[in-house]
Amino acid sequence: MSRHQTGLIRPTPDLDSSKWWSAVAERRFVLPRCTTCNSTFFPPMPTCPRCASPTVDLCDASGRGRVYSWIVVHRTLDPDFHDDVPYTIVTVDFDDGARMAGRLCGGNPQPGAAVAVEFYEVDGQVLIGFRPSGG
Amino acid sequence: MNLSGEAAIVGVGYTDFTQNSGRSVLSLATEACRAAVEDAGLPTGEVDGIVSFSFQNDSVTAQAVACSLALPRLNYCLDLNLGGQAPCFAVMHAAMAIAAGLARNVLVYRALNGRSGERVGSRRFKSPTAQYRYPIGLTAYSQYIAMWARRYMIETGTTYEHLGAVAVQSRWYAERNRRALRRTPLSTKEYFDSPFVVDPFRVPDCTIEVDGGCAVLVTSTEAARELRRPPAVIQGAAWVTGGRSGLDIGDVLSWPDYRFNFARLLAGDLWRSAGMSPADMDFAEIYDCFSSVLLYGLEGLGLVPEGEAGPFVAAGETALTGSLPVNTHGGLLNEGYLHGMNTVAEAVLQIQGRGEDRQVADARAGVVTSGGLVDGSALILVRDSA
Repeated sequence: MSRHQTGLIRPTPDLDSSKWWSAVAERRFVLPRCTTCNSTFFPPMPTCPRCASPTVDLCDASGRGRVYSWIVVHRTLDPDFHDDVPYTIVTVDFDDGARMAGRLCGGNPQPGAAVAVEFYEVDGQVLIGFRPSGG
Repeated sequence: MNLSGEAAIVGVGYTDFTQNSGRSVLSLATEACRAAVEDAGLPTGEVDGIVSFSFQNDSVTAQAVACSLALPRLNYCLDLNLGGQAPCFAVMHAAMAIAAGLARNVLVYRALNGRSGERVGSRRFKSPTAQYRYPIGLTAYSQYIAMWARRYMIETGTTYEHLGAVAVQSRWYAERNRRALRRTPLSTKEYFDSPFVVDPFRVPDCTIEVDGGCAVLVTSTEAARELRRPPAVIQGAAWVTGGRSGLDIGDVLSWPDYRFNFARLLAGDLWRSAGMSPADMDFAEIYDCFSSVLLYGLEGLGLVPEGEAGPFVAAGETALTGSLPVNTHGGLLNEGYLHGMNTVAEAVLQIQGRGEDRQVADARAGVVTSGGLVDGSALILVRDSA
């Protein structure tokens, strides 16, 4: 169903996200966590979206989660991804909290299916995808 | 102050809807606005307020339109930095300005070269969460809304057949609307023969980008009674931004529950503002950038029980002969993506009895929505009872 990603639009990290992207470049999976209310969230923000506290740190996370939803892109108006179609993108709810979207690297999407983070590289850029983890 | 019944829409204006206007956005906006004022039978110089919205600067400002219409002055002027959530909200602002005595006649418009200019389906937006979507090829609204639709289908049992029923029913209306870009009949078989754009959406599930302009004129209900068209009285209005709705309007990660959208979040406020209930509605014009969004609207507003919107459409209940005609212009799916300003205008035409072959019998009250995700707005329009 899903081909290997060949196209790329390079991410443009900002002041709220640059540390997270640096961790990704080192293939370290981290998520923003609020040390006041202990909630984990994504994307990175200056404050916790649950309690508004500025006590936010990046913490190591398991990278394990479950498929919440998915799409299969068959047509794209974006020339960078013309050679990639069809490809599957899943949204994943991590066991530690927070949701993220990424390419499904292998297998067919099923609601609630267990997946794990898989780092891959396109043209020197490390990205996060998901592979079935059978858990 | 209660807005209910204070103001009314008294005129609508359109340019032609095309895929290559060959004209500036200012030219389109001006024509639509002039047409709305003429439709109301008001001298253009009487306009003293303009409200509009622009998505990443794809339109022209109210100031520019005031200039192109040679208006002597504006006492109310607002350029909203919003997309499809905005049309009902913009009309609500016009009503607020009028009810507060800040302006007397307020134009609300949307104009863009959405097909020949920058296309919403392929533009790269500068927004905080773009960095998490674009690198993996999650680049378009069709994809974001499809991600919601898949989860909605999982949780409600809604099927491809139900999405197809929305597309087929909407096309039936569009065949009866000269403005609609897509007017050729669509059968269920043709729907299923059409290719996926992004599963679960096929081509007819997706709106069609358009060049054009659309405007409405809002005035006080009292003044409206002296004009030539029957007023579409603004009986109720509401806006909502859901908590954790996201960092920008392409953020698909912050809001936790794809099962419902803003329509559920504002329904209580909307019905209370009008002193009406879903059972009072003779028709509905639901923002439908994609077919699934129509289903969210019907359920969220309480027009149809949770999870039953797909079967409701498939059973023909949203047809002209059904219990609740919906999207009588053929929707954004077929008339074209004027970001829902045309959805508002169609509701006005229905209340005024100007729906031609697609007119709802005895259309006394209707609900309109603007938006597809976790922020949006809605109006209740009614025939004048005075």
